Amino acid sequence: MTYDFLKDFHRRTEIVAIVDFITTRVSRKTTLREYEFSSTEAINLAMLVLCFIMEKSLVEEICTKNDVAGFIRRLDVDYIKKNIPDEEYVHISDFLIKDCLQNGGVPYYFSTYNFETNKEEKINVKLIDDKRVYNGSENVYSYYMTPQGYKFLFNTLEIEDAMKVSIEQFKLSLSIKKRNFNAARNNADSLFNISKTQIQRINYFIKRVKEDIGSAGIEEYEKIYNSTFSSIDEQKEGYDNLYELIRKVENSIRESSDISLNKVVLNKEVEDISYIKNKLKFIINEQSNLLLKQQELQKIYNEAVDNILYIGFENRINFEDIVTKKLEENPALAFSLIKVLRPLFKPQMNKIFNINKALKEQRMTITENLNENNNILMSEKYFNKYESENEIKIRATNEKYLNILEVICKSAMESPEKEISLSQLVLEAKDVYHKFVPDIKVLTNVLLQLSSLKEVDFSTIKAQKKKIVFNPSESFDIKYCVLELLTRDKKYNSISNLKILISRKKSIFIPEKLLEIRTLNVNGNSSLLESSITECSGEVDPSAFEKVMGLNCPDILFKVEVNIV
Amino acid sequence: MNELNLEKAMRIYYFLLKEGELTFDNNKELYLDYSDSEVRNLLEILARESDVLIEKFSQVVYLIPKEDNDVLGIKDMDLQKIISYDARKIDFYLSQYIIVIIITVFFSGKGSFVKSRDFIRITELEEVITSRISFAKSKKNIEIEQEAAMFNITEMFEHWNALQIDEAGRRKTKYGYIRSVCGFLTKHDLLIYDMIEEDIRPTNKFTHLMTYNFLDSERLEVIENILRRV
Repeated sequence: MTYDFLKDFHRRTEIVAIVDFITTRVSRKTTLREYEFSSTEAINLAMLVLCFIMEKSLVEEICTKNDVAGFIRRLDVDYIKKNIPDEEYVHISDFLIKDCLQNGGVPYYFSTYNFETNKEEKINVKLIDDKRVYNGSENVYSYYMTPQGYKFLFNTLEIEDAMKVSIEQFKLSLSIKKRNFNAARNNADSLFNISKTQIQRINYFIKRVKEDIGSAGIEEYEKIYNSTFSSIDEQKEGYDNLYELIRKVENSIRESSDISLNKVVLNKEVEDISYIKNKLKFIINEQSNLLLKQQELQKIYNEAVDNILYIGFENRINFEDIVTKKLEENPALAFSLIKVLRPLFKPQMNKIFNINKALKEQRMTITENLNENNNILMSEKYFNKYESENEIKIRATNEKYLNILEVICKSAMESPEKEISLSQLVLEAKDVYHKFVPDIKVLTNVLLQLSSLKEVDFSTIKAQKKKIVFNPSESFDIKYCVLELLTRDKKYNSISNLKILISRKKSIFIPEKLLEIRTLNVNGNSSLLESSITECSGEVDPSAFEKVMGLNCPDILFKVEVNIV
Repeated sequence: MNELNLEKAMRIYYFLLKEGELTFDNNKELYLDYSDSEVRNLLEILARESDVLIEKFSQVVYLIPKEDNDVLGIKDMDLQKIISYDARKIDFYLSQYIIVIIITVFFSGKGSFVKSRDFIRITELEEVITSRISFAKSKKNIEIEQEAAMFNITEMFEHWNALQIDEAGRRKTKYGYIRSVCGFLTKHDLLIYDMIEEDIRPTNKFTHLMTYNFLDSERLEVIENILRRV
């Protein structure tokens, strides 16, 4: 090599490539000019959006285009002050994300030169990626940082990855020793962020290997492997030492607390220390997860590599030449083309009418669509774009879950044997029935989950509360619900354990609405309700229940263990 | 041969016929059964004798009908009615053309990358189709006149060009054709078609099939033979 200092030139250019990517993507297009953004303002806006996406990725929250639109709107109102009409924010966020940052779906390459191998080197720029998520009413795309995106944004403020951990660890220990807990808090935060990105980087790589092994080469695998796992023991030791240090400092503060310093300062210090301690605990936990990932990564990668060995990339057909162009020559080839395409499609057999299907129970298929919940959500979505509809929906769903759990726990606690069966619940619920059965689907969900859990250990969940932050999600999360239940009413604190036992013999029918059955009762004869619910489902008079939606399921016994305080 | 393994193989085979693919997530038990080498051998026999391939790519087992298999594979009719049940010949030609363009757009990656882009908006796809079809037509004009009886690209171009871009509720517009085709490919788990974003992207299945099977040069001869048979 003629010039030794050019050895790593191509590595320097990665950041340049990214900067070039952002500036050309954003400032060459006129879309943002229409909103009176100058080209520098537009680049700033793109960077702000990147920061927002990174923030969401670090806490692993969903980040949709609407979330970004809401972010831009808030920025506009408070700082940018362009007075953009409300409906335009979505356009701007759509433009920035899909056209600029995702380059309209076309991969972007920046060419540079590798002086060591004496070859041209292409740098792929991809700062954000998307994944399909369910937001409660439909599937949408959620955007997140790629490892390159993290690297870039960290580089705008911080420094190289491998160095960073040890430097941050050092800074943290220094801050603790100097009893500058405010600074220490920040150091702990950035360590926390780094450890988050480590695991996300591996997940992202696994995703790409699964999708298309071609995009994830052996070099990158080795790079990820080395940068993440080689120093992991060292890092872990560092974290353990820090944890030990903070514990010592905590003790010494507690001991010296009688030598009355300023009470306010002292409290603040104690609070900071426990904050740092929790972060460190979390990081140490993440590090063990990382070790598990190491095995998964190895396994998946090896399997994918085995697959490539017998394909050979060079032997790939040029589809455009051998199919597309021929079809353009002669569109009538479409008839033969079916054969070419056939391997792509799902198997499809000749359907033979199954007479037994005609004898099966017939149900209306449209009821689900008429569900009023959906309509409310639809309209909310369109009228209220900046409120996260997802959060509203999640809160409402969790409220329902919680109600069900509360009815179960309450009834079980109040019964003399501290247990209650599902069939009893249905009979006795009466005025809380609507709470217990808000909707058959929700109840089914909860019962299914509970019966697969078999046992819910309240005391363990309580113990975890301090370590882990539970966020509500669309699905029934028993831990979250238990914790919420405890905040609803102190009396549930006495429950240490809930057992769920499924009866193999007895099955019951849970109607969606109690009212309808009552009216049926009045019109019909005798106490239909009692007999039908307590007996096996075989005994239910089908004609009476024709119009009642409900759930057939085995009877379940809920048993609570109560601590006597 | 172990009778139990035959049972397992048969169960996997039937599952694949119904679902088209087997993963750890959609049926854990069968997926684990697949790792048994005798089960796999039996499946190979079943596949060979029913003119399909059963292959595992990137932790997913697929059942891939062979080119001539219209018993288990898709029927001509299914492809002919993508646009509508009373589709004319021209509709059929166009729908096939759009499928081919979608494949070209997503899978003409050079080097080790099969995928050449991540997603495309419906609007941009329309531009690609329109410009390609115009280009093909202009090239054709320079060449010697084709036999008048044969359907040619010029007719296809004229039909396409005369279509309106978009109109709510109408299928026979440019976007309408594209949407129908995308809807069809989505049903076969090849595309993710987001109706609100109005964009499409290939599924992992699509990418796997392209990477590991469809574009394998071993198929080159087969494809050329098929397209010569007209």
